[in-house]
This record gives sequence, C-alpha cells and structure tokens, in this order.
Amino acid sequence: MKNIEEQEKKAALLADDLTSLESYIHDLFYFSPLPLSFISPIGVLLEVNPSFEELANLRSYELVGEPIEELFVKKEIEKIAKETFKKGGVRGKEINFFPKGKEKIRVKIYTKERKDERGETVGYFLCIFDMTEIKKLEDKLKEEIKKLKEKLKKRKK
Amino acid sequence: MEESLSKEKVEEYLRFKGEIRGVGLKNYAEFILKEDGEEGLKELEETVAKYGCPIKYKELNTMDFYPIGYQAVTIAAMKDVLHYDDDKFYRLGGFQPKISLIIKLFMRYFISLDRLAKEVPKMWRKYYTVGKLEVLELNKEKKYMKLALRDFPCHPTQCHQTLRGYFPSVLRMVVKGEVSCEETKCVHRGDEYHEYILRWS
Repeated sequence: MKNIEEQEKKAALLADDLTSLESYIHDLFYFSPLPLSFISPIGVLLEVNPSFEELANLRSYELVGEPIEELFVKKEIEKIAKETFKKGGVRGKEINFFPKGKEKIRVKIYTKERKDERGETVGYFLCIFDMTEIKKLEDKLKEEIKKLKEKLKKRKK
Repeated sequence: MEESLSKEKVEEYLRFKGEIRGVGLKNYAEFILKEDGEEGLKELEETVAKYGCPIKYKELNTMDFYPIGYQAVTIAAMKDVLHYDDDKFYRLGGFQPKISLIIKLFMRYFISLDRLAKEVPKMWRKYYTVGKLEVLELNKEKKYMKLALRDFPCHPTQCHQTLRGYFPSVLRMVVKGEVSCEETKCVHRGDEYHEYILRWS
C-alpha cells in the first residue's frame, strides 16, 4: 500500500516537472526573435516559432506538415540538408528565402542535426538570419565608397 | 446515437469510460479561436456549462487527463452552437497534429513509415487512456496503410470526420504529397471496430 502511494507521489512529481519543462521549452522557442524550425529527415517542416511564421508570412498550421522546399530553391535546401547530415550542421550559408506573397530575401542559414538515443538522425533544427537590412547597408556603403573614390580622382586631377 | 446536445446526451457522454489528455481538448479550442475568435470559444463554454459540463479550455492543464466524455460534449456543442459542418470537423482533424504537443514528442518517429507504424499504438496512448490504435497493414509498394481503432467511445462525428482528417495530416509528416483517408468500418454502423485506409501518391 505504502509502495503504491509512493509511486503515485513520484508520478505526480514527474508530471509536474514535465509540465514545467514543457512550459519552459515552449516559452524559449516562442520567445526567440530568430526564426526557428525543426525539419524531418525527408524535408518536412515539423515545427516553427512565431518569428518563422512572420518571416514566411504564413501561420504555423500552414507551414507544419509542408515540404521545406516550398520556401527555398529545392536544390539549395537539399544541399544544405545533405551537408547537415554529413557534418552535423552548417553555419552561415547564404541562400534565398521565398516568403508567401512577398519578394525573395537573402538569408543566412544555420542548421544542427538532431539524433535520438539510438544515434539515428531524426531531423535538424534550422535557424534563419534575415540579411535584408545588412545587404541594404552594404549596398549603401558600396555606393558611398564609389562616390568618395570618384571625388578623390577628381581632386587628384 | 443522436448527435444534438441535451442534458441527457451530456450525461450519456460523461458516462464514457476513459480519459483524454488536456492537450487534446485544448486543440479543439485553438481551432475555434482560429475560426470563430474569442466570441466563439466563449459561446461554446457557456453552452457546455449550461448543460452541466463547465469546461474552461484555456485553463486545462496540457499534460493532465480529463474525462473522455468532454471530447464528445465539445463536438456536440460545436455542431449545435457554432454550426460546424462535416467539412469543418474534417479540417479540424487536419489542424490538430500541426499544433499538438504530443505529436512533437513523437517527431523522432517521423523518419520512416515503418518506424511510424511501430509507434502508432504508443502515440495513441499519449492522448487517451482508452482505445487501441494499430496498423493492420502497411503496403509501401501500393502506397496504403490500414488502421484499426478498437474500444474507443466517441461521438460519431469524431470517427467519421475528425479522425479522417487527423490521420492523413500525421502521415503527411512522413510521406510528401497528398494523403487521402476513408473510414471503411465504423462501430456506429455496427462493425466491431473503426477501420481507416490511408492512401498516398
């Protein structure tokens, strides 16, 4: 009798811990200002956070269960996936991203392979860094440098 | 079984043996919020409370278990008060796996059909304390899977529509492309168990 009571207490504690953990992970994933997602080994989106929804211009229920290649050039994302499974992840690869109903954007991709307790690949995390503002600044800087160079040329004459 | 909500019907549903995980009921609420907003959910909660089943969906604990009858009551109320038709319940079924926490726990099994087929009974157990879901047949060459659901007390709409939308939505996470689902046997029609055939292209 005492054993059953102890087991029930332990089970209740575990359930409580599980709820707390789930809440923490949920809050962390959903808080991240960086678009995050989890992709299955065959390239299906299994989870996305709100930042990813915003970047893709789609709601989570429109994204989950769909192939990731809907948002990228198929060959490019397949190459990223291959490299992820071969090396464990990629860091800062630049590719194009195609949000729904908007212009394509240049992004940097970060991935991390995920394995189960048997060491079998179960998918990979994918994080996106939107390069749009950086590219705009880059272009502006190049333009300013060009103008400066032309000014210097004229002065030398 | 009649489908309209009444005090007698609610009492009948609440006599169903078994429990459902809070996350399952919360998924219904998520769909209602998407389709009908806070007003829709409020209307549903007021109705079920009126019939002696006061469920506050947002306050339900995700991982706790609740009487399985709550699910049938929720479905009956969605039909009566929010006027959901078959198509909407089918779409509800397809929506649920996309937001379900339980599905996320099983993501590691979405790596192959064989692995998924093996874990199907375990996945069911994470949602319900009653009922047994198993894969009767998996034919990868002809691209179909046959499922059997036994000993599961449910509202007819759940087996005819919601589960018919739910199963293909899960399978699409393992096979790319369209997946169709047909209920080929039903307990409400006198069969021994519910049977579903899923086909993919």
